[in-house]
Parts: sequence; C-alpha cells; structure tokens
Amino acid sequence: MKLQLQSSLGVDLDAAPNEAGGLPNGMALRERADVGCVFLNAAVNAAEVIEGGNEALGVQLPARPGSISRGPRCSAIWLTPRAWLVQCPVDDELELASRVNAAFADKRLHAALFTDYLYWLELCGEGAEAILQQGGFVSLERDGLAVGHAKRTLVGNIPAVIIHERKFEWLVGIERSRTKYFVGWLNSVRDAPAG
Amino acid sequence: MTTHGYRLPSGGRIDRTRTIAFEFNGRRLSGHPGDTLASALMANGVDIIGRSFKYRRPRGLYGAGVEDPNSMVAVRDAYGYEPALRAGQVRLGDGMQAWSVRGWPSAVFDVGGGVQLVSGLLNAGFYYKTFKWPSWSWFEPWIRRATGFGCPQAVDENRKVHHRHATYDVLIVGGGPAGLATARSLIGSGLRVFLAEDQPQLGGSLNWEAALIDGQSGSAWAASMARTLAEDSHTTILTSTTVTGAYENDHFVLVQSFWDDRGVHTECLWKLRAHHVVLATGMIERPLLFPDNDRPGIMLSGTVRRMINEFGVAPARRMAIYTNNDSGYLTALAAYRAGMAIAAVVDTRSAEAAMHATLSKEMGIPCLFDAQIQATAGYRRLATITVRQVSAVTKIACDGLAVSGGFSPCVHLAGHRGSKPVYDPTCGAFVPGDVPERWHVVGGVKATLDLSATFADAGAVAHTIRAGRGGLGSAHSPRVDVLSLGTGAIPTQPSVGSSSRMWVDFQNDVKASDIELAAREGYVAIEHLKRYTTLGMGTDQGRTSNVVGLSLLAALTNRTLSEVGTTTFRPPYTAIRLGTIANARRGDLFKPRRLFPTHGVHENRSAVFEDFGWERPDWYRSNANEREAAVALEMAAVRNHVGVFDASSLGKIEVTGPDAAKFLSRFYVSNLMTLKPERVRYSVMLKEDGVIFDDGVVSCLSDNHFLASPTSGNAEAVAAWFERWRQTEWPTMQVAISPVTANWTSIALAGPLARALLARLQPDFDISNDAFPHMQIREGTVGGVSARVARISFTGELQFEVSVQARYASSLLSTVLTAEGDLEPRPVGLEAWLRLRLEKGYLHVGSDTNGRTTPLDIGMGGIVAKRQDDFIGKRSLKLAFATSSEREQLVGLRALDGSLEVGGRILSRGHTQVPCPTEGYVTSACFSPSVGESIGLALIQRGHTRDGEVVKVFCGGTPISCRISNPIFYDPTNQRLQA
Repeated sequence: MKLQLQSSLGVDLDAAPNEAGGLPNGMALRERADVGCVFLNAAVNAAEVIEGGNEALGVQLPARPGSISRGPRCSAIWLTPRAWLVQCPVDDELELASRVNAAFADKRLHAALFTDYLYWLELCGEGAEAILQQGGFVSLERDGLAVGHAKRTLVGNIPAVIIHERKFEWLVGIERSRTKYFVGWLNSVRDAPAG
Repeated sequence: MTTHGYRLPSGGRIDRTRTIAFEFNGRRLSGHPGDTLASALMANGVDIIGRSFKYRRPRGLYGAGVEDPNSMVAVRDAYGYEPALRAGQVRLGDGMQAWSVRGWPSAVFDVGGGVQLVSGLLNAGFYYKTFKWPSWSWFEPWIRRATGFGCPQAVDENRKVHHRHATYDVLIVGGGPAGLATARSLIGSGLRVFLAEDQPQLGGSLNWEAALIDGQSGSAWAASMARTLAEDSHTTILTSTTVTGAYENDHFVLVQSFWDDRGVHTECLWKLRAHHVVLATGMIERPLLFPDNDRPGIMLSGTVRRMINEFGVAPARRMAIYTNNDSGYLTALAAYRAGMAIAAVVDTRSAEAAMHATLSKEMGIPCLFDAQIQATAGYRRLATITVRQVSAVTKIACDGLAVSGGFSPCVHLAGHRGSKPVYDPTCGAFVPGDVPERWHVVGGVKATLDLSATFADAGAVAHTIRAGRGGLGSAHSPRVDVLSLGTGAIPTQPSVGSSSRMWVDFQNDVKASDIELAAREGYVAIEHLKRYTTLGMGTDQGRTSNVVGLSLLAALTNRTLSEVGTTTFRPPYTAIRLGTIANARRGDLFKPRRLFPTHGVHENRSAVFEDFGWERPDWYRSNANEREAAVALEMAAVRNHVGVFDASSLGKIEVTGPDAAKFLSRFYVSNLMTLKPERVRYSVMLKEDGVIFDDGVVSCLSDNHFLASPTSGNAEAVAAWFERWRQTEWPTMQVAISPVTANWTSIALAGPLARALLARLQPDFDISNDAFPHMQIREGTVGGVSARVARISFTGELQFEVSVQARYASSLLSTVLTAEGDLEPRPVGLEAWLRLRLEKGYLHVGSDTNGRTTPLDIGMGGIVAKRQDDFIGKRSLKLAFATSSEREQLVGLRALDGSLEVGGRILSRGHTQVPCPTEGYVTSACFSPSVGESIGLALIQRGHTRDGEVVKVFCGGTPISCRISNPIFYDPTNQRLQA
C-alpha cells in the first residue's frame, strides 16, 4: 500500500495547477510543489553547531539576516540567529533531515520535516513586486529585498517567507492551511496598478 | 436657493470648453472639469450648503478644501456614495449627486431652525446638566436623530481599492512651493524621494496666488517643476494623495484617489516608511470673531483668492474684507482685478501697519483702520456689515465678506508623532516643536510667509538630507517677485458685540460665550475645555477654530497662548473610508481562514463546517440530513465499531535539545523529566497566576526530542509562549522550539474496531495491545509513508491518532473512510467528538475552564502536590485565592428531571426559584446515548465535597433537579480504551 500525494491546490503534483490565473499581462503564477524543506533549529548558539551542520547538509549555513547559501543539492535560508530553512528536492527531504539528526544525536541541532508546512508559489513578471507590496512591506530596506535574499514577513495579513530569486521572479512560501486564503487574496489584488 | 451666476468670464484653471452636469439637493446644475463641488456651487450662486450642527443656522461655503467647517455634503458619483465630505474636497464629476447632510424639509427652509429661538438655553454642557433627569435614555434617541454628519447607505460599491507598501529615502508631505523646491534640490542626490500632494496638481498656493518666480507665473513655475520631477527616475510624485497619519518608526498612511469625469473610481491606501521626512504642509487661514460671523457669504480671505484665480468664480458681487494682517489686502486686490466691486477693507490695525494700504487706495478701494465689525445682517446671505471705528459707525452693503485672522500651520502630522506645537508670538502661530529625528520642517508649516525665505529654507533642508545620506545634488534658488503676505498676525480679541453671537467653532456650533462659560466653571485646561464645549471635535478637528478658541481662553484666564497650549493631535488627519482600510478583508477574505489538507474529502462527505479558527466539520450530512441524528450516528459509530475524526488542527510543536525535558517540565503541571521515549503524558499548563492556559499530551519521540500537542485554538499561542520564556527568562537552556502543526495531518481512528482499521493501513510496527499500549507513540510507516501513530484517547474508546505529512492527508482519510468489509467506518464531526469526551468526563479547555480555573479545581491537586520542582504558576497555587474552600470546582451533573444546558446556573442551597444567588454553572452538557441520561460538567462552589447532593439548575427557563456526581460517566475503569 502507498498513500497518494496531493499538492495544496490540486491532486497531481506534476500538473502544477494555476488556480490564481488571469494575472495581468506578462505575469505568471505557478505552484511549486517540487520545493522540499527541512527546518533546522539549534538549541545552542549557532557557532557551536554550524560546522557540523554544514558538513551534514553540504551547504554553508548563512549567518547574515536575509542571506541564502546555495549548494549543489540544497540551499539554506537564514531565518533567525539559530534557525534556517533548507530548501531541497521533495524526495531529498527525509534523507537530509536524517543526516542532520544523525550528526546531532544530542539534538543540539534538530532537523524537522517541513515540506508540507509551507506552500510555495512562484510569482514572475515586472509587476510581481507591486502585487506583493499590496500585502505588506516586502522589505524595509532602502533598495528593497535584494536579489538572492529572503525574508520572513507578513503578506496579505499572514506570515510568509519571501525569496527574491531573480529580478522579476519571487518565491513565496506560506503556511499550508492558508493556501486557499492566500490564492484568494492574490486574486483580489492582481489588478493593482504597477509602479 | 438663489442663482446669481457667479462664474467669471475668464480666468481659472478649469476647462471652459466642456460642461459637467450635476445635482445638488435635487436641483440640476452645471460646472466645468477642474471645478470642485464647492466652486461649482459657488458659481451657480448656491448660498446655503447646509445647516449648522446644533442651532441649525444656515451655512454657506467658508473654505475651499478640507478646512471648511461648514460645507458637509453627501455625495454619490458613478462609483459610490460618501455620507460626509466637504464640498471643497470633491472633484466635480458628470452626473454627480450631492445633498446637504442637515436640514428638513430642506437646507434653505429647515424646521429645525426653530431651535435658534431657544439658543440661549443650549449653551456649553447643556445636555450634561439638563438631560440627567429622569433618564438620559429618554433623550438620547432624539438627540442622536438630530445630530450627526450624514448617514451611510447600504449601496453597491463600484470603487476599487488597492493597498501599497513602500520604503523611500525621503518623504515630502506637501507639493506646494516648499515641497517642490525641496524635491527639486534633491534631484541628482541618488536618494529615492516620494512627494505627496493632496490636490490634483502640484503647486499649492502658487496655483492661485499672484506671484512671479524665475520670471514666470507661480502656476507655470509649479508646472515646470512638476515636469522636471516627473522626468527624474528617483522621484515619485503622487497627487490627490493625503498623508493621513504618522506613526512610530516613521511609518505613514496615505490615501491616494484616482478619479475621472464621473467621480473617484479607485482609492489606494499606502503604508510608507521614510528615512527622512520633509513636512511642507503649509498653513490654514484663521477666522476672526465678530457678531454673526457665520452668515452665508462670509468666508476665509484666501478662499476668495483661490476661487477667483483657480476656479474662475466670484464669491460675491460686492465684497468686503475684514482682516488683522496684510493678506486681506491681497484678496481685495485679486477681487478688484477680477472685476468685483470692493465695498471696503476693514482692518483692525492702524494705517501705518498695513503695508499694502497705499496700493489698495490707489485702486480706489476704501480702507477703514482701527476698525471692527460690530454687526452683520442677512439671514440666507450676508447683506450688510456694521463697522465701528473710534469715532464712527458705518453700515456697509455687501453680499460677501472675506475674513483673515492670520494663519495656523498644519502641524498635525508632527503632532501624531508626539511633537508638541510651541507658540511663536512673533508670528502668532503654533509651530512644530521638537520634531522627531530626521524630520525637517519647511515653509508655511513653520509660519514662514515669505516665499524667498521658504525657497532658501528648502535648499538648506535638501542640503542637510543629502549630506546625511552621502548624496549629491545642488540647491535650487529661484528668483521671486510677489506681494508679501506680511509677518503674520497675533490672534485678535473683539472689543465690540455680544459673545453669544460670535461663533468660534462653526462645525460644532461653539460660541465665544460657551468658552466664557467653561472658563467660569473651571474648565480652563485645554483638554477639559475641548470636551466640555466640543471645541475642535468632530471631523473638523478645529482646523479653523482651535487657535481662535485657545486665544480666547488665554485672554479669559490671563494666560499666554503658550501656557494654554494645544489639544492632542491624533490620526487620521482626514477621514478615511472603512472600505479603503478593509480592502480585500471582506467576505471570504475577511480573515485568513485555515483549511485542513483534507478539506475536499470532507466536502465530498457533505461536511457542515464551522469556523473554530480552522474550518472544521461539525457534522456530516452523509451520515444523516439532520444534525442531532447525524451526531447520534457518529457517536454510535465510535462506541460500536469505528469512527474517523480529523484532528489535524491540534498543535504540534517539536521541542528538542539537551534541556528539552527540563524546559517542558517548567510549563506543565506533570513532571515530564520522567517521560521515556515512546511514552505519552497528558497534562495542563498554567500562566503565572496559576490559571489553566492550555492542556494536551506531550510525547517523547526520542532522547531530547519531544512533541507537544497543545489545543487547536492555542497552538500558535503556546509556541509563542515557549519561545518567549526561552528567549527572555531561560536563555541559557539548550532547547529549540519548532512549530510544525501544518506539516502533519492527524486522523484519529476511535472505536472497538480501530485497531483493525489501522491494520488495513499496513503499519510496519506491532500494534497489538501488548506491544503498543495506551499512552504510547510509535514512528514508522503507515500506508507506505512516514508516520507517527499515538495511542491516546479523547473518547474513552480504543483510539489511534495517525499523523502523516500533509501531502498524504487526503489519501489517508479517503483510504480509511472507504475501508471495505465489516468495519463500517464513519466520519465523525466535532460535535459528536466533544459529546463523546463529555461522556468520558474529559476536560475541554475553554469550555470547562474559565479565567479563574486552576488545576486544583479540576481534580489535579494530587499531581500538583507530587511535583517537587518548580513550574510556571506553581507559586500561585499556594495562595489563598487558589486554596479557598469556596472555589468553583469541576464536577459531573446528572439531570433527575429535564435536560441540562450549557450555561445553566446552579441555584444556591435552599433556593428553588429564581431570582436567587447562584453558586456555579454548567460548562458542558448533552444527552448521553451511552448513559441514557442528560449529563453535564459544571463548576460548582465546593463541588468536590458535594458528591451525591441534589441541586437545582436553572435550565431552559426553569429550575431542574440534578445530582452532583463523578465527572466520568462512561467506562470509569478505562477497560475500553485499554482494550
């Protein structure tokens, strides 16, 4: 017996249904059910576990707020001075978490399965940032959220992880139970004036 | 209503090639694109816009914009309806309808105007004094009906709303000369500049004042500046945008309006953060006090200039000017040049002080010095003024009077940030005091009346900002040729006329005599005066009236204006539509709803959802069409074969680290230091006061790895509670908190056949009773995927809670619900689930506890007593409050006659009828199919010592008899859940 997979918005991961369709010209919205996640949380100061964590993950755990380190199989996003979100292919999630937890049997660093906690949405296009800015300050920095950086913030009244992948490409992760709400919210703000 | 036709043959910035039709109070009128409703009404000769708030006096236009206290109108355009706007705020739209908000049967003839006959009785605080007897409630409905600033309507709203958030280096508030010059000087600095202007075009007063800047008219210079700024990629200009509030950390709220020929079609609410703030909000003209100073036809002096030069409207046929400063002469000259007859300039000062008097006289304008107006006449429109000089009294015919009592800087935004305005006696105005760091004040808002000085100031501010941010650029210093506005004016106190005929606050009908009365009665603190007289209240917030009222109070109490001070400025500066604030937060998006990953499966089973923070199935129509029948079937399924309940919303918080057990033990009443791997323990957690905050089970997954399961409603609060203590009180503890609720879906299988149903999912571990007893947890695979299975029970039956990652949730639920054979699994909703736990006597936090309930009250005294070490709230349990013998304690109730209901009050001993004292209440109740009785839980005083006692409970309007019992009604020996 094997239970079947189901994404937040559909039943078939490969089809990547686009329920929030009908965006303004040049905009694209795509469900990213292929993004897996592991939540790394240290029980001690990061310096004590960072080396072992790097080794187990194969990627440098970032130390600066908002920064992302990219490795061959996964990338690590800074969340707090003692917590990181590791993105990986969904199929790698269990193995990655197991490696970290095996390396830290005393649980000074813990890897929790997290793929299903977050629903990832890719928003592309010149007006993507304006759409996100309807829901909150994407960044309070002078030049906004720099490409290659991430942030935890409020969007549309719910907490979200925002990653600025490329100039006009954003990845937004929101808690799974609020997926339908968030898609509904996106639909309600999609005709926002850009600029 | 009379129509004079006041449109000037030329001039103004309106588009005379097109005509716009609109209605006011049902009458069809016309205007031009570029008109406001105020200018169009004035052009059509509409004298009376509405009636005053208290005395129902006829009122006309007094100001040209948001400062107008009189012209409150309800407006419907093609996109929506607004109940309370000032006519000067409304851009004229084709087909627009507007109404006076007060006056019956009309604003021109108002029956309510009769109240003026008893106006002497309606002085300040009259309703505090008068309507105390026999009861305020007798009068309140009438007063409410008679007052207000318009009524909302339930109409379809076609107006779009957007929200935007942005961060800029510099926010410039105000697009007048000061704001424009500052923005111009920041070009090239590399700084991102945001300029907000509440009018549709930049320039502010330059659009109507006669000024030459760099050899061109003020409006032409403003237009050229606008073009230059628009070409700069670092500058964002928003017109028709009002900055309504300033908040901590230099966050601002702005409302931007988008309009077309038919009205305002879109509003955008901006939340903006800026590193530097330039306050260039200008100033508002002040009125003067004189008898009957509120008659239609009397208006602010600057409004007259604006009406003439921006809208091409003559506010009167024959205009008089009353002033205590030099700006009044500019009005006289502007009116003269527009072809209006000037009756006189009445100046309270001597001739020597009036710098433009000679020029005015050269134009043939009569000037009266050392003069005051002692009377006015004309009911529906001003007809005459009577002027008193030292040796003469002169009656002057005029149908318009322009009034200037000096200027009040718009300091409101600085006030929102806590900056207290300070009085500057040299210019007679309150100016911003200590403004927040990186705030800069330029131009009129610091009472600068000289345009050259304003431009120099703007250049200096831009230089400071550039220097602070390492930017480049150069100051812009235009050449100015303009008639001076003078040096400001000290607020003038009248020496003639009755104070009971002088209006200070037009919007709230506060007269000078009201302030005198308040001062006599001891309301000499400005905040007290405001509340006693209503001075500066309402939508007007005292824009025109405050300083006049303050100066009067200062004179009455022999204090300076500095000593009197100002009231507190609070956001918003102007009213914001609630719909604009709400935006998408309506209907389904009113609040972020949380759905189970299995929501579709529940829908397919015709679940009836209730919002418990999550959308949860309350019961299933697939079980029965009627709720009680469905609940009975769902309960029977659990008791007799197997029921399936979606428990995904229960909190899941992984607590890990070398100190995890010690950390958790400090929160829960039970000792979790002794909890071994694969074991589960139930407990409650308290706040510092010893009151129960939450309950749930804690599982030990492995050494240093625990899974806490708080209640659904408290899952996020408990995680935050853990994190707060870790960070603030126990930062050295080696522990990490990982909330993972949404990652896992939990499906509970409950009933005698639960094990058989679980077996169908082919777990890779032994689930026999011996290998997997009650209150244990296993990790492994179920249905071929990673899973955690806890053997715990909320129903009193054998129960397994299967948790898999949410991507498998629907598949898991569908699989167990369609299990074939003789299992007959049935979906169970929350109502049945809660009744099953009631039969078992299990606690439901929030229902069976309240803001006073401690663990001692629910029978956990033994566990508390055993704990040697400390936990949060322990100390409070030793206080007299917690150990009192009079406390309400949780017990069971069995109805001997009638049915128990939640909320039923337990009558005190010896009482059988209500009203009477009570000693507790029913917290949970239902008819129990398993017990065959109406049962309940109740918090009753001394309940633990009253087992077997019969009490009266007031339920359904009648007292019924109940016996106090053990709260466990079903399977008290736990044989079924351990089967």
